Amino acid sequence: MKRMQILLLILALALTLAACGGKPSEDNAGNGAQQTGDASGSIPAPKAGSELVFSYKDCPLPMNAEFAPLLEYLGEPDKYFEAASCAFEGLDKTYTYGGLEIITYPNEEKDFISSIRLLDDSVSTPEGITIGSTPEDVTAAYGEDYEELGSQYVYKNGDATLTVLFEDGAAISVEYIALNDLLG
Amino acid sequence: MNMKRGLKIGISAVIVLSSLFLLQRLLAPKYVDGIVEGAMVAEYYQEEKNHDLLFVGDCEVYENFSPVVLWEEFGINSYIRGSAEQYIWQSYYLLEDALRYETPQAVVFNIQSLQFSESQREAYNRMTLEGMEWSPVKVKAILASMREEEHFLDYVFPILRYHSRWSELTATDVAYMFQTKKVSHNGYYMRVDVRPAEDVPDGKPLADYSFGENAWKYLDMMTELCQKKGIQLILIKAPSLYPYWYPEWEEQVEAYAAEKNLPYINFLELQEETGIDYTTDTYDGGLHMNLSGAEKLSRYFGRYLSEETGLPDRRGEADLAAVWQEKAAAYEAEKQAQYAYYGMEKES
Repeated sequence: MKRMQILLLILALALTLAACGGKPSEDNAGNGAQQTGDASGSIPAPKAGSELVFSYKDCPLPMNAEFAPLLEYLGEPDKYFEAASCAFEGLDKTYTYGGLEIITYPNEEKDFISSIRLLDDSVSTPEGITIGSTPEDVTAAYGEDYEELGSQYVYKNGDATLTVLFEDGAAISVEYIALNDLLG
Repeated sequence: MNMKRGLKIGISAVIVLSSLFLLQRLLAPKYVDGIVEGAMVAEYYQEEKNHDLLFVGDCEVYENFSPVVLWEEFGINSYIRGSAEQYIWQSYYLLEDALRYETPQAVVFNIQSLQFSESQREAYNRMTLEGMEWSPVKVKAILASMREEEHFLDYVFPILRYHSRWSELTATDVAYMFQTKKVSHNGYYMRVDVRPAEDVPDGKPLADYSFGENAWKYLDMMTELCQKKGIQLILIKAPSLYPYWYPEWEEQVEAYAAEKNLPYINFLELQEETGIDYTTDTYDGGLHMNLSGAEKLSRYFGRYLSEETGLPDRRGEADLAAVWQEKAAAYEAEKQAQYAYYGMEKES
């Protein structure tokens, strides 16, 4: 009988400590956030989890890429804002470079890109889309494989989406957004 | 023989269940340091429940209003049932839960959470729901909140969700296995430090500015519940500069308040009247008020509540006054401790 008790206890402990799922989602490690080194020593070359990659000053800025080496390359932003999520450690950080806004999310000790938004037509995507582009420009650049949500086209690829919002036949928002469990 | 066997099985079962219970107490997050917001919902149950005013909502209520000031300057007996990123269905059920114990004269709801029509993160659900006492209301709150990947049983037996915390346990987990530490002042989370608001980003254009059906449904339910119980519901938008509050959202809330004949106060538009100074009255760049901002806001709102809503001044009630005297002392002690911690000049 003693053996039975011990067996039951061990079984319960084993089930408890080892058997099922993961931790609550805020504890999960970020997805697709691996970073390759800067092999050339000049322009960083972060690993991309999507074909939808924005580029600024010749530097690719993939979603979910670790931001510190990219920040070092891009230099001081024109504006910087940080916001703590309700009750979470770490900060969502917003860096503005001219007509470009980059937002990062924290994971453990590092920051990773969660979104990039074009603020005006001084910058454009590598495929030439910017504020003011027409729906025809967008489909010519990215094709017809998009989801239409109201007045916006959403292209999804790997760990990123590209969302273009139109008003009166012209883009008023062009935004890359990371797909990641940590971002809810 | 059979009886002896039955007894042994019974004892074995008790041992296993006790072990699991102890493990659950050990492994569940304690929220007594660092992220303390997860402990706020449970704290309410330790209170004497005869409040005249209840707040429900997210960090825009529990960081922006001070019940101690409402008491000391207006005699308003209030409590904030706030929690991190509290979704509107959670606000509704926390209100319904509170109404099991008391019927306040007025309820204040911060409308920022109308922007969400479904839960965004399991961690936020847990910080609000786990602290609720078990009742049919909690069951409804869980069912309304769960994301696709969540399971009801995990809320009933949190050990199923937290078993993997064993590798992260600290001395705090042991120290607070069977006790809690007070983390708020009647639901208010105090911060005295200062970080001015600078370069707050504008909102990005949205494809659709309409609040979701589910959010409206719970606002209607809250309005109806308050009407049924004879409670004055007051809608507010706290003066937090970020996340951005869109004019299109404002129009919808104003229209709703007018239609339902509810008072609605947008504190973002009352900077001059409240005296909020975003260079000194926020601790995180405009997201939340610090103590100075929360006290200014409470003074303005307390006056409104007394004059417009007729909330009673109960400072003459000796028993209640004694309770608040203790609360005010704890409030003052934390204030001074934080001034010391942040290296700020102490108030005289």
